[in-house]
Amino acid sequence: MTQLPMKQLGFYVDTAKCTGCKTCQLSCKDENDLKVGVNWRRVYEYGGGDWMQNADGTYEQNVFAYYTSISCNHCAQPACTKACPTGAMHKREQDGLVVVDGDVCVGCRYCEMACPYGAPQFDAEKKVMTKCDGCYDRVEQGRMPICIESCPLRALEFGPIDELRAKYGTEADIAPLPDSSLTLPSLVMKASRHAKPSGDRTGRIINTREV
Amino acid sequence: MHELPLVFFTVLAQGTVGLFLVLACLLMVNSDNSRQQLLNKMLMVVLVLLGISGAAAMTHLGQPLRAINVVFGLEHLSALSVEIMSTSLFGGAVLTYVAMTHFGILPKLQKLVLAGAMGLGVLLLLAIANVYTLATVPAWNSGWTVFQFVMTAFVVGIPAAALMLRTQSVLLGAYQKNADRAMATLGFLVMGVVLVGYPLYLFWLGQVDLPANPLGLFEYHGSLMLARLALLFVGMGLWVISATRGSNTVVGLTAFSTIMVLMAELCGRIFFYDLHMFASGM
Amino acid sequence: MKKLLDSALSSIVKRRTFMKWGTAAGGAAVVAGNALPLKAIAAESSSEKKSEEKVTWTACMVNCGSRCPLQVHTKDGVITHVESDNRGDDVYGDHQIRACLRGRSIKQRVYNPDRLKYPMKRVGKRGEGRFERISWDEALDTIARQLKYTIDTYGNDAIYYQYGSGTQGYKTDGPFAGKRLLNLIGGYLPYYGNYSWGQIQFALPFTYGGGRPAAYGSFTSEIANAELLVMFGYNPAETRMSGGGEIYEHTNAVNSKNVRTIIIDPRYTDTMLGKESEWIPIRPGTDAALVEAIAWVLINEQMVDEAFLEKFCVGYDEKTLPASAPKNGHYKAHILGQGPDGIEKTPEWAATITGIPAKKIIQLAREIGSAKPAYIIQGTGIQRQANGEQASRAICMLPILTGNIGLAGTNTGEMPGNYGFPVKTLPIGNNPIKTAIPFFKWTDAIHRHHEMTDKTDGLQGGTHLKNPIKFIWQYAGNITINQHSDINRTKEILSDESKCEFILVFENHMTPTARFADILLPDITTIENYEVASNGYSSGSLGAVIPLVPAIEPMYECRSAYDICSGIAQRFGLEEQYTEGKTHEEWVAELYELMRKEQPQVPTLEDLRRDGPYKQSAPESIRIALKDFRSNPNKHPLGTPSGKIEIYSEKLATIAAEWELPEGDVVTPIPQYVTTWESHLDPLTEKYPLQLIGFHTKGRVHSTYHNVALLREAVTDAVWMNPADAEARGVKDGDMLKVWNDRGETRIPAKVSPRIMPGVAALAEGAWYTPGKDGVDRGGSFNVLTTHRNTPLSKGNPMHTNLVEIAKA
Ligand SMILES: Nc1nc2c(c(=O)[nH]1)N[C@H]1C(S)=C(S)[C@@H](COP(=O)(O)OP(=O)(O)OC[C@H]3O[C@@H](n4cnc5c(=O)[nH]c(N)nc54)[C@H](O)[C@@H]3O)O[C@H]1N2
Ligand SMILES: Nc1nc2c(c(=O)[nH]1)N[C@H]1C(S)=C(S)[C@@H](COP(=O)(O)OP(=O)(O)OC[C@H]3O[C@@H](n4cnc5c(=O)[nH]c(N)nc54)[C@H](O)[C@@H]3O)O[C@H]1N2
Ligand code: SF4
Ligand code: SF4
Ligand code: SF4
Ligand code: SF4
Ligand code: SF4
Ligand SMILES: [Mo]
Repeated sequence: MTQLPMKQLGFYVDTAKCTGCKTCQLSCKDENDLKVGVNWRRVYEYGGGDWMQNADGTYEQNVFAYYTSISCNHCAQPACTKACPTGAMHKREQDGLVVVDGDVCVGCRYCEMACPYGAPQFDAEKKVMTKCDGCYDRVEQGRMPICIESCPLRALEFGPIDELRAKYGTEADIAPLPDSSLTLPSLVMKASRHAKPSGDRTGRIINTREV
Repeated sequence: MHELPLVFFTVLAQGTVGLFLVLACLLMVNSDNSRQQLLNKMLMVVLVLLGISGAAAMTHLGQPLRAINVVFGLEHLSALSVEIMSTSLFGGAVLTYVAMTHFGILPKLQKLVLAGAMGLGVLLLLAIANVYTLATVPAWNSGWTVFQFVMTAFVVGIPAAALMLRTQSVLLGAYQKNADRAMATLGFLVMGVVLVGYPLYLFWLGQVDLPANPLGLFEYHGSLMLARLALLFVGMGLWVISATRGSNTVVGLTAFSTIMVLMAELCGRIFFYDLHMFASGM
Repeated sequence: MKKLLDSALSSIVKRRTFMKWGTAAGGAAVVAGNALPLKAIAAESSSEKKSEEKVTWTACMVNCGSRCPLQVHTKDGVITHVESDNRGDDVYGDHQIRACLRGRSIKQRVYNPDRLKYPMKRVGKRGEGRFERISWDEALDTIARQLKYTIDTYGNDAIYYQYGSGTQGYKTDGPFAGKRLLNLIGGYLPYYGNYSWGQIQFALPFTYGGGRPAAYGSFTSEIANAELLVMFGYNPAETRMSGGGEIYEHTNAVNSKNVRTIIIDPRYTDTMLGKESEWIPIRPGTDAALVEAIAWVLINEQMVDEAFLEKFCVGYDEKTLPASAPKNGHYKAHILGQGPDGIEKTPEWAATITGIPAKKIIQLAREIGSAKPAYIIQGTGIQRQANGEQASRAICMLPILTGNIGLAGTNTGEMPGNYGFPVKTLPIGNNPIKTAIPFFKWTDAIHRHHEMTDKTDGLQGGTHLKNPIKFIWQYAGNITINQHSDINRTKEILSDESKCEFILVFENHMTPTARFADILLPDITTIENYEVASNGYSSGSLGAVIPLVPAIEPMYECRSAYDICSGIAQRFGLEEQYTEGKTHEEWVAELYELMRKEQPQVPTLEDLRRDGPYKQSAPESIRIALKDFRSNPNKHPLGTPSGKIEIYSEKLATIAAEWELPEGDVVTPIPQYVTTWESHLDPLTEKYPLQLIGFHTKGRVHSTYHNVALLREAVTDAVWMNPADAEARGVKDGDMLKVWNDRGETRIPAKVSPRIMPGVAALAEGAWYTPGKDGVDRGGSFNVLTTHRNTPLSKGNPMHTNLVEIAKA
């Protein structure tokens, strides 16, 4: 394995604040000129619950829902780089961001199969894999990724992951996200009051056609 | 379904390895020189099939012209790099063997090369399975993936080998009849294994903890699985029965059987790729 | 972009435009290059990018209630991407006004394949959508000729200024430019009210008097001072999306004290998601029944604020009932079953109507009765129902009964108040035509104007219409087809070209309404224009002055409404009067200076344009509605006849007696639940068993931004159905459905979700009407299902009251 990055950058996602507005997704698409079908940031709607009708026709329910905004988690143990046959998908040493080298990628889509977060997004026009690159060019200029800066609810943060963890803890196992031990994502989440643990089967991703 | 090229590649490559392994076994135990030459020629077919499956795989690449870049992945043992390398090495070994026998190069080493190719063939089967046993894809991450991929080699390889020999039944005479019967016996066993194994696999799948019922993902899956089992049963069955009953030289029937089992495995593989469902369903 | 370029290049465009797109192609290539994943060669290309890139402050000006600044980045005159307000350290209170997903995608709306390029005239039948390119001269000549003809043949009152909210933010262009011209040439038929708040704004003055609060209650910042927050169909997460506006303020206020929040809505909205303490799903159109049962509990459990009611209100009980009222005409009698209907409004009674269990209603009533202070608020979806006036007044009864009025942490039960920075507008002169129609009745004014009176159809400022509408002036609106009710009926009325003789449309895009134009004018978009805008009408406590500087040159042959109207004025010989010798930019500058005389703290126009919006927080003194009245009712009486809160309105009693209402329509002096047509109790449910409500979707603003593919992908249009209703119809998530009633049919996929109550379906309004060859809409356009029938009092739009059936298509 390559040596650990000098400073691992990562995301904080507050599912208690997030309203699922998708501004983060769109600002990313605008900045990076992404087409329909290529979503570096995706907002998953997770929900469930049952309805019961009483004898008088009234209803009881225990409905719940919340959104999780996920891009690439620039994992400490990325499944994508491990899978990649060309090394195009690589983890940068300076900041731990996982980036595709579009000039090396053969477009085999194996990283897409391996990543449990749906992060790699195949560009059908350029025929190579693309993915959230942590806006490293902005970050290098001392600016925030555009998705972070765009969130109307201030539900997203970005920075050295150890600082984010010191501030917010280490939660990263919220449904519909997979077990974080699979790839050790550089991600910290705040749970919505409704949040279910990874592996939960009481709800489902409701907006399957939007992600 | 963007994986369709991979469906063809994996099934064809596995079937080809199976075919090769059967032919190679026959070669290993063979001592008749003219038979040897005939069998060696048959290996050309293996090369052609391998070429076709390789081409199918290439069509899945967005940037086929950069295919050479896959060597970089060997550095960190990318399963895909290993698979692609195994394919090339296997193909290379078969080619070397064919070339050596054709041009009569180093006759003493030929069997050794053949044995090596057999080893690489087995390696290739495992390497393909290894690509798909991803920890992040629970529906794939099990011995059932290896089982299925190896069984495809047998299921397709044995009737295909039988077919090849039958086309040469005039030249091969009694040898062919005996070999055919032996293969049919083997095929019978294999059929038993898969007809038990595949339903068990489906049963296992129903038990895996997944975000959605993997057996209810697509409406056509029910028919796909039924078709797979039916095609297998008909394909293998017809050939095995006819072979054990003594009609060991009929080409048409075996060809039909081979196509049936090939289709069965393609159905199975489409189902397999559809199962690509992450631990989370994301 | 490529498609756009292709279409731009293949069309016959002027040399100038052609050249611009030539450079655009180069620019696009650079953009694409930069977007490659390995943005590498980084340092080099990004510093290069910096030196050439231009950043311009402008804004998103659509009608969502907010007004978000945008920094448009361009290179060689082509937009590369947009940023929003990213200045300062974003401390709450002086926070950034962050655009939502729509503003963020404005590049796609500006560079859109649907963009109109040059003036066009209709060829073929009206609505067919066949047009022929004409010159600006021909377009302006035709319009001027038609205006003169209409005025000479019928009169100015045959010219209708149509509702159109596409450029809410303009102060010196758009609607102002148009009305200024029309007034100069003798006036036009005006409307009153609007599609947004027609019912609530009409109804609440009967309770609270005119002016504020007649739709604007306390600021949401007051929520922080409340102990309980009750929201009826108020959904700021989806309808107030700006990161500088209500949703952000709302979230901060709720979180600051962890205020207990109860939300009453048939849908589990994005405002909830665990942020609510409790969701109470309610059958559409039945909020007034819920309120009455709550009142029953409050009265029976002695939780009403009798002292408040006696001192500040009229008509709660015998003590304050006006002399003109019938005996037992007061609210208390009505609730306790002593009124004319003799029904006691018990929780059990309301349970069967609302679908809410009686014990839940009791619990809710006790919470509302005991929490002090309680902030009670409603959205305006509720009043977009068949008797929305009653419902909106009814909800206000809760703060009134509990005395939660005029104090810190309270609200009047209305939409929240907002601070709008007073930016000056272009003077529009006076309209000599005094008779106004309700905004919703223009289709009637085309085909049955002679039957319309003040008492039948709510005419104001006159009793009759002298003329039918002959000329529709539609600027920045998709009302004429898409956003008004019953598209099929509207089409039928408009297809008779002898009735409404001329439809003039100013647009950016080839919308369903644009297809019905006789002359279709290509307007520039707001980011191609000069303006100084204020923050919107739903931006919470944060006021702002927002500069708009053209980020790109006007595209194609597009012209601003101001330019167009100057051109028409010239054909009337009135150009000098119209422009007063000023260019549009000069008007902007002059009005800005006028404002600065009154608001000297505002930076100079030059600084504003360079540094971006000026922000100013609302003074504390204006945040609580009815504060003055509460502290001194004699000194600060309300605008009602009695000067008090009128639970019993004598004015309404008069209306109820004098107006001619169709069967089933009810106006009453006190707010009360009425079982309406197309409710869940209508026998029509046998044929159409589902109540279909609309909602305003985060994926667009009404129909604006609908043609942005990235947004259609991000928020896919679909009918929300409860799993039980879906299963009963064999419908699975994602299935293509047909949704229909006697008025029309649309096709749209299913979104099967527990987030909607059984028996109710929901569809986002605003999708573009897209009829197939068989006339059936394929676009999921809501208004093929709605009715021209109006609400009883304000004669407004009951667009959320619809019975439908749904099946797999
Ligand atoms: N994203 C977005 N934001 C917008 C707009 C937009 O198009 N898109 N449009 C803007 C404009 S012009 C306006 S007027 C406002 C409109 O804002 P609102 O009028 O508040 O919006 P609606 O979405 O019509 O209705 C609000 C809620 O009322 C619920 N509702 C419907 N019927 C009933 C009922 O009978 N009882 C109860 N309790 N709830 C009910 C709906 O489920 C919905 O969640 O939004 C503004 N903001
Ligand atoms: N069924 C149903 N119908 C509804 C509603 C509902 O809840 N349900 N809501 C109603 C409400 S609250 C409202 S406010 C209305 C809104 O109805 P409209 O006022 O018609 O609003 P939009 O549909 O956004 O249409 C605005 C038009 O302006 C155009 N436009 C945008 N920018 C510019 C510009 O710079 N120049 C010009 N010339 N044109 C421009 C856009 O392309 C768009 O076609 O819809 C109402 N209709
Ligand atoms: S922009 Fe913020 S609130 Fe909106 S979806 Fe993204 S994370 Fe959630
Ligand atoms: S989220 Fe997926 S793509 Fe991103 S680093 Fe982790 S495994 Fe790789
Ligand atoms: S698609 Fe590209 S980045 Fe992904 S695994 Fe293949 S070569 Fe690597
Ligand atoms: S960090 Fe940058 S590239 Fe990644 S999702 Fe956010 S905006 Fe997109
Ligand atoms: S909140 Fe409204 S004004 Fe702001 S960007 Fe969104 S649509 Fe435009
Ligand atoms: Mo509105």
